[in-house]
Amino acid sequence: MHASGHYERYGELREELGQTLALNVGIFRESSLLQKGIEDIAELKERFKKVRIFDTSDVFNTNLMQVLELKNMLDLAQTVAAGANARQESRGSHTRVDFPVRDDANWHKHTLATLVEGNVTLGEKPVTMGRYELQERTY
Amino acid sequence: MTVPTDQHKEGKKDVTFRVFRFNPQVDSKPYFDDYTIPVERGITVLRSLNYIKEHIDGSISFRAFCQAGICGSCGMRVNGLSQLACTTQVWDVLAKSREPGIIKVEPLRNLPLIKDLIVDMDPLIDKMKNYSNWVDSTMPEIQMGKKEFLISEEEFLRYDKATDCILCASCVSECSILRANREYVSPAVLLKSYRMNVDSRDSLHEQRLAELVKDHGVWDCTHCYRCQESCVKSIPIMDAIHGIREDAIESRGMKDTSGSKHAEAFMSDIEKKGKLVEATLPIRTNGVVWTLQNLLPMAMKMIMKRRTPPPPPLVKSAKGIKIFRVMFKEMTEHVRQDHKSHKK
Repeated sequence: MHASGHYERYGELREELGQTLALNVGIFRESSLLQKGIEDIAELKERFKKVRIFDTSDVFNTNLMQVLELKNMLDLAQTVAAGANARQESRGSHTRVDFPVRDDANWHKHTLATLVEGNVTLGEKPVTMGRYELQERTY
Repeated sequence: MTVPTDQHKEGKKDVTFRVFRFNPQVDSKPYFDDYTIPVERGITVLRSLNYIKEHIDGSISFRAFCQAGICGSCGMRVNGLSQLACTTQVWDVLAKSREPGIIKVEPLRNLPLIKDLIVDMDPLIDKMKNYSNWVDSTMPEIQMGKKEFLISEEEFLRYDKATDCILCASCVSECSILRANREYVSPAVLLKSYRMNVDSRDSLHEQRLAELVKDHGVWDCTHCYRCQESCVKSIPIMDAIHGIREDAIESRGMKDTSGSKHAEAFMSDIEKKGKLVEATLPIRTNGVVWTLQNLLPMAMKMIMKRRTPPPPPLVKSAKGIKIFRVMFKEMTEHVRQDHKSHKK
């Protein structure tokens, strides 16, 4: 309980999450921006603890649904940002301005993200090849 | 929340949304809540509702998904007219508002209310099931997936518009028959039935038509055209309803449908006398048994009040019946020609 009675609004949190993801975790990424994004998301997660649900009924409660969705969005944003920050190469639409070249030697693998007590643990998994072989992208 | 500071700026003003509220767990009856928010030119009703939900009152409930007029979730009545909130511009609605600066938002009609602007779509889905609103392919199952099942472009054009329906239920909400009788098949289901019935790949034509000509079916429509006027996809729904009726008369004849017999009785009266012979109309439409069972009490009352329509021999021909008959013949010929050219 918060003595001040201060609460957070779903609409504001979601808007700010969208803003920071667009600015810092977009298609063109770099370490300093991603770091900023990770910090913002952590802060939003903290603020989310005080989010208020205005609709208290259990008939078609769209307000509760929105808030639950936002909770998942925050988790997802956290894993996306962590994965993007770790992957020090550019691949597909993941364009690291600070690592513009694809690095198959170190990064030809899937990233597996697990949330453990609010923190992201990154693992990896090899890519199953067969149908297509690795080749340089020249277009 | 941003408060509007510059009211003189063109294209931005304060608009009041008068939103229908009802939470079945708390409220004994519905009421309206007013929300006044700054709205820019170009903002839709749905964006405004989202703004209210996110910034002022999180408890207002409405369905919405794609925000682009594709999914059909956000059907509601805006200033009394059923439409999609996401394709309705606040500015356009304001121009026609009865009370300046106020937009009234209510749930769709003719469907059970769940909460605020949300209605229960299940009755509509049940009707779609009842009237087999799907294509049951004539292609043998063994061939499925092995070759394409093609249709001609000409055939496709016959139901191209009907396939645009996104089941937003605006027509259902505006339908005047449904308001009187919730059992009525409803315009959206008639449109879908028509679309399936004219598809040459479908095998359920007879079965579907047999269901459509029963009570509460295609003959209950009174041609008020409100479904067509309110359709958010501008689909000519009445063409589909007329299409089913013509098809029903053509492939089933006059015998089994009271609606078609009613239409036929009208036509013959008009041709003979230039006006209706009301006394025998129910018998010719629904048969002697039905008339005696259903209309005898009313007939007795009419006799008591001396309000019975004159018996057939006493119905005189209307004035100018001779000229009218010539016109009637000419019109009948036109319609016949028209049908022939359609068939080609």
